[in-house]
This record gives sequence, structure tokens and C-alpha cells, in this order.
Amino acid sequence: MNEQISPPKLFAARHYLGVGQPMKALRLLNEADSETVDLPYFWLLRGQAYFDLEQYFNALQAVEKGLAIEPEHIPLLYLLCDCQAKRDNLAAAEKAILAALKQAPDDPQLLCRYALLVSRAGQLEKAEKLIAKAAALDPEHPAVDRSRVILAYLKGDDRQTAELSKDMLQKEPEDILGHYLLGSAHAGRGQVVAADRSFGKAVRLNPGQKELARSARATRTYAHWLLLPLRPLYRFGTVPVWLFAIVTILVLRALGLEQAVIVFSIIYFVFVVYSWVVPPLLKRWLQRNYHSFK
Amino acid sequence: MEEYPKQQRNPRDSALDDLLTERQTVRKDSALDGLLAASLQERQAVRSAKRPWRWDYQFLIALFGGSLAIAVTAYVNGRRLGVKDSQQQKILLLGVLSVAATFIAAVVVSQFDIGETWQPGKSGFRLISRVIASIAYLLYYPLLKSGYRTYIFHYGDDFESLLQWGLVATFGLGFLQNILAAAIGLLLAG
Repeated sequence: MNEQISPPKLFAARHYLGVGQPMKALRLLNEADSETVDLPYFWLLRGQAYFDLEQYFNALQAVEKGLAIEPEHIPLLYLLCDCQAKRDNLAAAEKAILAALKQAPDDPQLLCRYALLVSRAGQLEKAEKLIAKAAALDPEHPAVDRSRVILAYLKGDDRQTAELSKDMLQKEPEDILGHYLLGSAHAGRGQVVAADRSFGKAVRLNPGQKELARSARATRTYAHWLLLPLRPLYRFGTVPVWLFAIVTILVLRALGLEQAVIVFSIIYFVFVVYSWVVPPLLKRWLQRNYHSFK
Repeated sequence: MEEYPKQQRNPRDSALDDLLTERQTVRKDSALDGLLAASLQERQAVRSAKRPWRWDYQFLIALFGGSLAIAVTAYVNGRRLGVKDSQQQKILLLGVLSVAATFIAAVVVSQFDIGETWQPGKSGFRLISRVIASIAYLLYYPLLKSGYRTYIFHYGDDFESLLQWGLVATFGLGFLQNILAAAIGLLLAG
């Protein structure tokens, strides 16, 4: 009887994980019989549920129990890598992903996961080579597209990030990471209105993500019409704007235009005070009045 | 992708299923190439015990503290961000060059009679010093950009407050730099 009930339970637990309800998945898994708990897949689902709940120690314990049953179980090794990475243990995460890669060295998903892991330690050249290898194996694999966008972002290449994320979003229009990175690339280039649009889409797709909502709120503040005079500051950065002001004052003074120096200095002073006072007030006001991005 | 929003894990679900079903025939005999050699066994995670500082506000250190203050800040921050050793060396080199440029400026203005305002410690010299430090601040960013992106991507907006260090760097190191510049100027002048 249990054999008949257990697989549907695992299937249902997997469904709950897919729709972002790990707690319900865990409740189902808690009811599993003794035969089911001998399946590595059971521990994979359990570990994934804890992972989604951000209980990484419990997730790690579940994964280790699964690996005790089948030490070379690739999805469990993959999840082990994720858990260790979340716990900032890069060495253990690398051991796990390399153990998986030892069995499937031509798997694009595993290669991309390893690429993202090494990129976290600043090894961007190695990450690039790993992604290139994954792309050579399967250029259309979603993990390849996603990893390329992430790597472009980590390298600080906003133009490439924007191009690649647009390509990725054409294939997967509801990819949250794609919208987030497109928004970040726009923000990096001072295009606050476009950034606001992209972050807004990402938040609508996942309203529960606090960090994403925070980025979106901040960008919404900068995109507000009241901060229109400050756009050069966001476009070119603080230092170039200051240097421009200093050089302008020095040039006007050298030309003997003392009145122009006074007028420019007053305008710039007002601009600086405006940039210090208005954004925090606007941010507070928007936080109070806009709780969502509907 | 391990970090970002949860819907993102949906592709992994299908990938896990792929691995469970299609990839039962794993190739254990495939040789690992150099690319799959371990490279993180000695490496700490980017986030160390001390979090890095936000970049924007460091401009105030450059503006009011000068080249030495921003050089030390950028170097310490680079270490906290876990940027590559070669990048850290470039930051150090740039720091030495910017401080040297400030001292060279002190030497130049001491050697030529261009007015009291431009002597070390006076307002004109401070302007030169600030412009050098601001340019250095701009040049540090490309060296730190990747480190910042990596940190923000994995840890979000979790930065250390710059207030305490900012005051120490601006007043302590800024004062030290001005004393040294003034001493160089005095030595050469008299």
C-alpha cells in the first residue's frame, strides 16, 4: 500500500517545490514510509525544501543522508554544492561539483554551475572558459545563456549584460534573473527609467524577494520626475560631475568672468544641496506610499 | 544559478529530472581536463569577517582626505572584496603614484614663486591635492568593479559603515599627507 502512496507523494512534494511552497512539500515528505526514505530522490526533495526555506544546515544534513545511500548521485551532489556555497564554504562546494563533473564532464548545466562557483572567488577567466566549453557542447542550453549574462555582469560589462539578457528574455520572457540583470545593466549605465522598468517586471514576477524589491524601490526613486535635474549625476557619476564643476569654475575665473563664476557656483551649490536632501526624502515618501509594484 | 529569486530554481527542477532519468548512463571513463582541476581549495569566500565599504561615499575621503587616505581605503577595500592579487598590486601601485604626484606637486609649487595660495597647506595646493585624489578615486573603480559586482550579486547590499574608517582616514591620513607635503615644501624652500 505504501509503495502505491509514496511515489505520488514524492511527485506532489516535487510539485509544491516547483510552485514555491517548500513547507507543504516538507509536510508531505514527513509522512513518507520507511521504504521511501531509502530513496536518494526523497532526500533530494527534502534537501531542496530546506534549501528553499533557507535552512542550509538542515538541507546539508538531508543531502548527506541521500549521498550515504548513493554517493555518486549527481543531483544530490549539485544540491550539496549549492548548500556549501550558501554557507560560504567554497572549497566543499567545489569538491561536490567536481565529484558530479567527474561522472558527467560534458554536462553543460554542471559546467555552468562550476563556472559560477569559481566566478564567486574572482576567477572570471576560468569561468569564461568553462562556459565556453558548455556552449560548445550545447549552445542552446538555458544554463549557458544565464551564465553568460551573469559573467558579463560580474565583469562589469553593462553593454554586453544588456544585450545578452535581452536575448535571454526573448527566449524566456519570465526569467526573473534576466529582468534583474537587465535592470542592473541599465542602472550601471545611468538609464534609471529603463532600469526601473526591468526591476518592476522582476518584482511583479516574484513579489516575495526582499532584496529585489529593495533594488526596485531604490531605482524607482531615482527614476522619479522630481530627480530629473540629478540625471547627469546618475549618468556620469559623482566625481566627473564634481570635476566638471571645478574645471568650469577655474576656466571662468581664468577668463575673468567673475559674475559667471558666482552664478555658476550658486547653481551648483543648489544642485548639490538638492542631491543631498531630496532623494532621501523622496525615498522615504515613496516607501510609505508604494508598498508594491502592481 | 544558486542565488537569485526562487522561481529561477524551476529550470533546475527539470534539470534534476533530466539528470535522474536521461543521465543514468554517466561516463565515468571521461578524462578530466585542466579546466576541471580544483582551484578553490585554498580560497576563502568573497565575504570575509569584515564587510567591504560602499564605493560612492569613498569620494568624500578622496576629496577631504587626499591621495594617501583614498589609496589606503581602496587597498583595504580591495582585500575585503577579494579582488585578484594582480588587481591589488595595481591598486597599490596607483596609490603610490597618486601620493607621489601630490608630493611632486608640493615640490613644484615650492620651487616656483606662483603665489602664497599655492604653497603646501594653503587653499590652492589643497585644490591640486584634491583633484589628484579625485582622479585616483576614478581610476581605482575599474580595478574594483568586478569585486563589487561579485559581492553585490552574492550578498546584496550588505556593506560596512564607512563612518568610523572614513573619519580616521580623512583626518588621520589626510593630516599625515599634508604634514609630509608641507615638510617637503619647507625643506626645498629653505
